[in-house]
Amino acid sequence: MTHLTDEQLVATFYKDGDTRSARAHLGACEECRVRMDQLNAVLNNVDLPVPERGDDYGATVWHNLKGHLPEEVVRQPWWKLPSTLRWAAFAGMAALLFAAFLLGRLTEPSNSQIAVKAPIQQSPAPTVSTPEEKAPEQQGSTQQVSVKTPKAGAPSKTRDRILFVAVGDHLERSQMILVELMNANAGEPLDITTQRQIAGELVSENRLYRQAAQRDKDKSLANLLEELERVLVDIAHEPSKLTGPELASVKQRIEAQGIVFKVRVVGSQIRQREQRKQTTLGKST
Amino acid sequence: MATSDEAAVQQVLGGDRDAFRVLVERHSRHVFRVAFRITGNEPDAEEVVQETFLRAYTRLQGFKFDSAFSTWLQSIAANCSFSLLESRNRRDKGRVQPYEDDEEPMEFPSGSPSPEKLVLSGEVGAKVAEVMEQLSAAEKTAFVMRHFEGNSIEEISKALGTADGATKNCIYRAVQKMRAALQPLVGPTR
Repeated sequence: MTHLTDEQLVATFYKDGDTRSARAHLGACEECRVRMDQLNAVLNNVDLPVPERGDDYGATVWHNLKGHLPEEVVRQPWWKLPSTLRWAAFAGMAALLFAAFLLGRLTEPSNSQIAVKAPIQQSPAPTVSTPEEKAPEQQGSTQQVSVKTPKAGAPSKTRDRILFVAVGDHLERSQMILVELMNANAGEPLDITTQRQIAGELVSENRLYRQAAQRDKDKSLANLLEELERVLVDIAHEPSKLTGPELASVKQRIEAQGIVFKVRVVGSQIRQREQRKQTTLGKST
Repeated sequence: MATSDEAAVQQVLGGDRDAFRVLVERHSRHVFRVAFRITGNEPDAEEVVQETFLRAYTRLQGFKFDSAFSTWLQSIAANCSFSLLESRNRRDKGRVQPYEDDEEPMEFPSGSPSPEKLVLSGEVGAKVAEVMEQLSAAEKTAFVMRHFEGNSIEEISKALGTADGATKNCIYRAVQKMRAALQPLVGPTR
């Protein structure tokens, strides 16, 4: 007699697929029945209690979440609207396209350069990554970064896109530093020479992006960058060798702000937005 | 009368952002439970809860009402938990490759159970927690979804982005490890 394999016994326990033949075999084969009983005894004892969450847990989650939800309300796409509204939406889009065409015909974008001086302590590779970036000229302790910006009054999509790509990179690098520190063993001394150095460079970049966000009245991004800057400044000013208690204190400060999660969320949103833009550009060429 | 999940989703899609609150309050504890069992600790689980609802909000247009909203949400939670475990493993070990399809998943025993695990009463409970720590990210996610949440193989495969065969292998390996650890404690040996 061919006995059931262990995989078949597991599938029978979880009722995966057609288990009729397996169950019929179990009725006829004592050896397999014993094995099945053993498996039942093990899996029926597998429990993993979960810490209790109170009745107000959901409200707490909502309170923490709502500030991070995208400003743009998730709406149904226009093709799911009733037909009358669909035609109205189509007419509105056509009007917008015509207006954009007229605007494009009447205005002529031009490029102007602004130089941003970012003082740095050392001379690493350029820290601002933009598609139109020129090679930075390092003179002594300052680094000049050129960012092409469209003329004021012309569409600012190019500038926004450049900023998005750069901010996304910046958040990713900041996140790496924060996570490295959070994952270090609390209570044990740690040499953070490298993290301090990188945090210092990130502070300079962060100031630029924060100022740009404030200028563009992007309040949520500006607030996030402000919080991030405080944390990065903290790290940059710590001693190179942290004792166990000092490391625990750094971790506690990072955790108290929830900054890792915030940076991850916004970084993810920026990447998704950039991917969507690239998909749109790819389709239109 | 309480707003149903479907009605709340329609309201959010219609532009009422605050209608999402109904869904958050209704499903938070379930999402936390899934996240805790997969990640193994409260801070990570809390992070997964936030990330899950954020992803659900941004992807709400993709919800087709072909399954229960709770099932859809749970799938997102499992995926977030899985991703978190994998990224932690990569950072901690520095040489780990993510589990893909039918590849043998890397195993990263994390040493002693955390204090939370040790609160579990009984030797069996402690053993279960110990085995869970020893499972790979994919094994842990697949096992939790199958054993505790009752998800189908197809649902788990979709959440993990793997083939059904690989999912079954993950569950099977997890069960084998449980059996090896718990058999001496609970099963009659003949």
